Amino acid sequence: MASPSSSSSKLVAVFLAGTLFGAFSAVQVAPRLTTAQPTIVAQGTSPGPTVTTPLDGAPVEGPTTVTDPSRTKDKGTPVRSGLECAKGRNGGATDIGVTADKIMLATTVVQSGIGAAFLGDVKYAMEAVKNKVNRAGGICGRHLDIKYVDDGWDAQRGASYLRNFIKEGVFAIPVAPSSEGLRVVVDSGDIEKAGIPVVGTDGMLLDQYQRPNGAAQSWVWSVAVATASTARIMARDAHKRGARTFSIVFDKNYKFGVEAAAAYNAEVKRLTGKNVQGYNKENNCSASYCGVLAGQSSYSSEIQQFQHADFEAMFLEPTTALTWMATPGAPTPKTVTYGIGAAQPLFTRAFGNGCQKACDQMAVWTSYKPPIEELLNDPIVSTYVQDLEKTKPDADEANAFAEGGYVGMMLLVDALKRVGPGLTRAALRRELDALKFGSGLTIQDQLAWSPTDHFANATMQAFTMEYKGTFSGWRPAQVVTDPTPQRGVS
Amino acid sequence: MPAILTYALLSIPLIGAYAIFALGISVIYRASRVLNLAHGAMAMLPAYLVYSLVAAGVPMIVALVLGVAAGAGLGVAVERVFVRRLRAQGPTAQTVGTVAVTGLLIAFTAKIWGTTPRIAPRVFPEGVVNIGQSGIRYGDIGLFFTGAIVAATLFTFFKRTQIGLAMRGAAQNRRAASLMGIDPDLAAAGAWALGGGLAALGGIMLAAVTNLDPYNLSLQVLPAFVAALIGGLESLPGALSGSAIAGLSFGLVPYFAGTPLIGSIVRFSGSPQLALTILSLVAMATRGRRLTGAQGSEAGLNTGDRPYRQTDPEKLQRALKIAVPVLVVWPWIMPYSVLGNSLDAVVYALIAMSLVVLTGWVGQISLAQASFVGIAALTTGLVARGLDIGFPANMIIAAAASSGAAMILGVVALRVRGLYLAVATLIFAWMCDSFLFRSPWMGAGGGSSTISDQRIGARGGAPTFDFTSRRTLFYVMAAVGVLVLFALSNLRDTKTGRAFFAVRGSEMAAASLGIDVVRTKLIAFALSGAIAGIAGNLLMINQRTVVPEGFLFTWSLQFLSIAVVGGLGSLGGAIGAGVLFAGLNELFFRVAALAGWLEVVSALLLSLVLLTYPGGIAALGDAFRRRFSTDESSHEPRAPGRLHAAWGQARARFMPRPTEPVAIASSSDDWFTQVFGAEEGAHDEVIPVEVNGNGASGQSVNGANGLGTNGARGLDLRSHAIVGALDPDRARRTVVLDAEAVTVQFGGLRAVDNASLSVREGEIVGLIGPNGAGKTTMFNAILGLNDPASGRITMFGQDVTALPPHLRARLGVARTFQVLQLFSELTVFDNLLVATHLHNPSHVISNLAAGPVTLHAEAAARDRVRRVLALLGLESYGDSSVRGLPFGVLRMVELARALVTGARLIMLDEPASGLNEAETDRLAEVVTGVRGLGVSVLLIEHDVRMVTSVSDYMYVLAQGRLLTHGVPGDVQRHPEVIAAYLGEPVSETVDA
Repeated sequence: MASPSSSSSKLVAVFLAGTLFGAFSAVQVAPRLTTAQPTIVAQGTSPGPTVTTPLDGAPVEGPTTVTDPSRTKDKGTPVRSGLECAKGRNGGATDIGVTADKIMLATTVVQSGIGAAFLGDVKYAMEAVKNKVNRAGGICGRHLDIKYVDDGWDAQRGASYLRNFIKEGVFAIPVAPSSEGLRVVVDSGDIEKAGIPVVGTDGMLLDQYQRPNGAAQSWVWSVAVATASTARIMARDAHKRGARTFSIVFDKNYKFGVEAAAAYNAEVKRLTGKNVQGYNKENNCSASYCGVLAGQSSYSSEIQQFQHADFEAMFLEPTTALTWMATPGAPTPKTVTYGIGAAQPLFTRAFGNGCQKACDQMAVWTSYKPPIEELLNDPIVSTYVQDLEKTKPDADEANAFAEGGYVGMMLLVDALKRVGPGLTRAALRRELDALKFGSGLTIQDQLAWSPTDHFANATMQAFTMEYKGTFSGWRPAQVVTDPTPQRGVS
Repeated sequence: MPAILTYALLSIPLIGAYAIFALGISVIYRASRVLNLAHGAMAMLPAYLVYSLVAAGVPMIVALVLGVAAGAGLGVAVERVFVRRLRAQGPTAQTVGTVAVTGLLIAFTAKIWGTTPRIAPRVFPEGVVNIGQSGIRYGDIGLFFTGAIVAATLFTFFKRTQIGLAMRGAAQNRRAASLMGIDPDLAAAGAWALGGGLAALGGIMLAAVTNLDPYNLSLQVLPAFVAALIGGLESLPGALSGSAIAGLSFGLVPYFAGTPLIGSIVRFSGSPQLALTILSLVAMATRGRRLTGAQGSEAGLNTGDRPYRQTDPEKLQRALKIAVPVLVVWPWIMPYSVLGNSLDAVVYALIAMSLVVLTGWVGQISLAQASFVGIAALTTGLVARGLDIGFPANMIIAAAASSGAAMILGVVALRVRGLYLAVATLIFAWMCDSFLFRSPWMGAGGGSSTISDQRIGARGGAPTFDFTSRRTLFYVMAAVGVLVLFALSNLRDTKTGRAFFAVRGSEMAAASLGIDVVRTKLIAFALSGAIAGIAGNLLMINQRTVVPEGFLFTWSLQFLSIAVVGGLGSLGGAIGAGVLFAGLNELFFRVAALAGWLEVVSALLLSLVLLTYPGGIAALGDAFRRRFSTDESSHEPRAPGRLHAAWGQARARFMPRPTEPVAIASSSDDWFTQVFGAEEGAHDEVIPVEVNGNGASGQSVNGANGLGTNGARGLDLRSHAIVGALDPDRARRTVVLDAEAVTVQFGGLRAVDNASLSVREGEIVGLIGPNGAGKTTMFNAILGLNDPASGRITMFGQDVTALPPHLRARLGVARTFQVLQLFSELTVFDNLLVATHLHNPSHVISNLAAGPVTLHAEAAARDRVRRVLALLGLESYGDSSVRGLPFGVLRMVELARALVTGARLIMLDEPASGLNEAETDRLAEVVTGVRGLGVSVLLIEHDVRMVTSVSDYMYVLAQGRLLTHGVPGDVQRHPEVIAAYLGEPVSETVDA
């Protein structure tokens, strides 16, 4: 028999547990007792022609209507609002994070940690667009107010911050440069559940385009070509040029590399009837299929095992790629018959400067028009460079992620303008899902989303790295489109 | 060229780089017993400096020299600012100090030079020697030969130069070095300068053949830790050979990928790391020491004058009155972001608590806590996804998985201690990063692991609790956190917790008290792993998607930092630190201006806490209480037994203090119970014992050591003595201990050679001999602390030759030590409580829950201790920390501790060592009194006068062999004994 004293201890423990349980139950019950507040949702405008929109506050054509979602359930009868696209007459707080003079946006950025090397400038590209819009008076009288929080590219911290944004009432998440945290909240379903628009992402992972069941990732609009598409594009291009055997080196630490490898192998199998030699599901380095661990000081053993084929695709982060290319015996574009193709993360001036001769003639694929000599006369490219320089003079304008951030912000601004004064998330979603967007900065002239397909961008261009005693930039080469981006990695 | 040779040759640059780094790590470790986790950062910063110098037009050779000099300066700075200041806090704190340095240096470099990878200037000309389809550059070859030259130079320096010898001497014994005129601080600074210079040299040369970025370059040093460990952290030749093994592993393991059997394992990426991990763990498990004493302990964090104290039930009640309502209303009053960070705080606190158990209480340093968290999180993913097992079942499975992984490390910890163990755990974490978490079967092969929303109850049913609600999840996590806290605080104050502290304090002493050191360590690892596993599970439940990068070994360093900031031994501190670090997340979320300063602020915070409050938040709390408390009693030691009496009533945690005395519930049949029964003074007086003390409490008046004739309260054995006079015929006395023809060999040295002795019931047997005679070795052989090469030992009629120490203790033998082996973190009372281990029938689960068995056993244990304290007149010291007590009192405490075990044979190892003549006389009386209780005594003593005065029989050892034995009078007159002691001719006699 237990002593009275031990019984008392247990009583206290039971009391404590009971108290927590009671509170726990209250949490479950209380929300059901609250009444849902009606929100005003704008009806989307009809899809217009592709426009390269100026970054000012002018609305895009099309009437604006307002619906009461409690009656319409998001698709109900439009209610005329009489709202106008001007300060004081724009409907005020039309949705979460929207006031009469402000649209509150928030995103996680990478200002510290290992990812800052290639993601750090995205914030400044976003700021460039925001400043321009705000200087022009905002959108329908509303200024863009973006809160940037540095998460150090840490997935858990980033996810936590993004969840805070969702809960604390920002209207949308623009660009989300810190891809790791975004991945967590997308995969865990928070974005979908909250119905918060994530606009203009540049993460390239498949989960930003489609859900595991193949349906569109309905609240994320990416402006970049998916990594899986990049892999297919490289394989198809090489095959078209005559390559019959294929090899790949990829970073198995990151989903980016793993998705690329799977899609690449699937495409090679379609093209040649055979897997990449050495293909294995564990993504080990074997023959022509070489998964490597990031962050090693040398890859000489892997290179010893690696058998490059007619063509080699490289899906590595910049630091790993530099180490790989610096390892003796690493195939160079000139030693591989149909060259080496590299993915967008290597489209940075720092990588070019670091790799030097070893990367001469390496084809780096990007979905944006980089500010290289041949394209600097393009007014939009030139505008992008000037805008970025104004915000951060020493930013790397060639960094594809920075340019992607700029394009992503342009997409958001364009869609917001199309929605007009009665701004709601649902309206924005409808606009985006019906939008044909031309920023002038993507290789593909027009990006278009639909409710069932968020693979808007599927075209990339190769740019070959040039070495003339020192890294001297990129030279434009072939443009290739992935006709079936919806394939995912299969 | 054979392919295997090709792969081996490709390892050359790695061997060179690892050698330079490993030698630097070893030099620093030898000098200051610090594991310099900042070695990578100290390699990286000078490499950046050289980069800038060369870019500014400085010739490479000049830049190289300046870079190495900068590295040396950095080493001195780290030693001065962190290592020296944290010396009092112990090697763990110093090691954590180097973690802070790492953070600061990386953050500083990233701020100055940015994080973009850069191409470092070449040290050697460009050019490649082709090997197979790969090759090695001139720079690689240069790296290798630089490593060889550095090694040769270092060997010469430490063997042939005065400075080198002085540094070695100071490293091995600071005090002795001081006496010889060597400034040990200067020597340590010199070693850090050398280590820093080597780090810089390695960093500059490695960067020249790879590239420069603040994060990756810092991590390249990791294999060098493996190399240093394989070679033995202190051995320079060992570090060199370890580097060769580490380098070759990276080169050769992939070669075997194509072989039929081995290939199925080594084809996986990360298999070199796996191979090295297995190799180093096996190497350590096979060559470490079995048990260590107090001096051998390197772990834990000394908290200065803040010894372990049992939970004060009144304070706990007050705290609960505040905490419970706060926890209940918290989710309703806090912003969403704060609530989210509160969830992180629970996770951090749980991880910190797991480290408190393992490192703070048991002294086992773990740098793999993030791996345990990761294993649990990914296991949660596996079972939730694959088997649809929901919460809380998946929490139990996840905790079991990480507990199992931790126990694997625990097996290594049976042989490896202190910072060696830290490196072993670091290697384990590295293997998890590179291999385990990348494995497709673990669920994160694709880069992440995701589970669906977790809930209790069916969706749409009632009741159903959706964990995607932060409020709901907060209550669940808080409840789990409270339960873990409750269980751990119970554990700490009961049998298992005391065993933890004892193992940390001195494994030898713990074993001598019957504590199974192996089992205790494994329990600690399992428990720590389980708690970290619970944290991992909750992390997964909260995030619903995890990525392996969240469990990198760098996170383990961060977690250790959290625990240290809390105060490594304090559960409350762990919670405080969890809140503090989660608060940082909130700070960065709220203050946009801090963007880009994450690393700087975190590293600065850690540095600040370490340098200003090394005891962490727990010590800060103490200081705060001292400053503002109006309760004067809190400044003084609590009256002995006050809390313990409260305990006797029940766990007392939530209970009013008891008023009734507690009955002994022990069922043991040792002499203690027979003598004392349920009440004191119930036995007949048989042997009168002279008592010199006057009965007053307090410290010694006359004796500097506190055991003067008017010192500690007089011995009060009269009323308990029960044993009659010894049978004059020794042969008729029952044999208690018989050591027969024992030989103990250490390598080529035969420390004990075919020696025999016996102790019979009621006897005091003296074992004497000059220095180096083998007395303590014989003692240790009897107790199982070393393995006799031959011979047989029986105790109480049972052959114990093959039994481990704790099982011998269970037969009824206890001991004291020549060098005191008291548990310095505990009070006198708690030191004695540890000795009740054998009589405490409770077990770990009961301890965690503070169940009835535990409560009754604890009551009995406390009563037992109180009786022995009274017996030896030590009541007034009961609540005092053993730190700072007079030496003589400590000797008595150790004897009291042996008595508490209820042993029938007590072995005293030079108990008079360090005592003056009066104190020695007093001790002799005590020993005689102990015998009077029916306890047999085997006594090693140098003081011939003392030992002959108390012994009934004596043995004399000289040079490991038994010289003679007999009654004291005969032994004293034995010519060989006289010669052995005085070196005089055998013919002369000396009257002792």
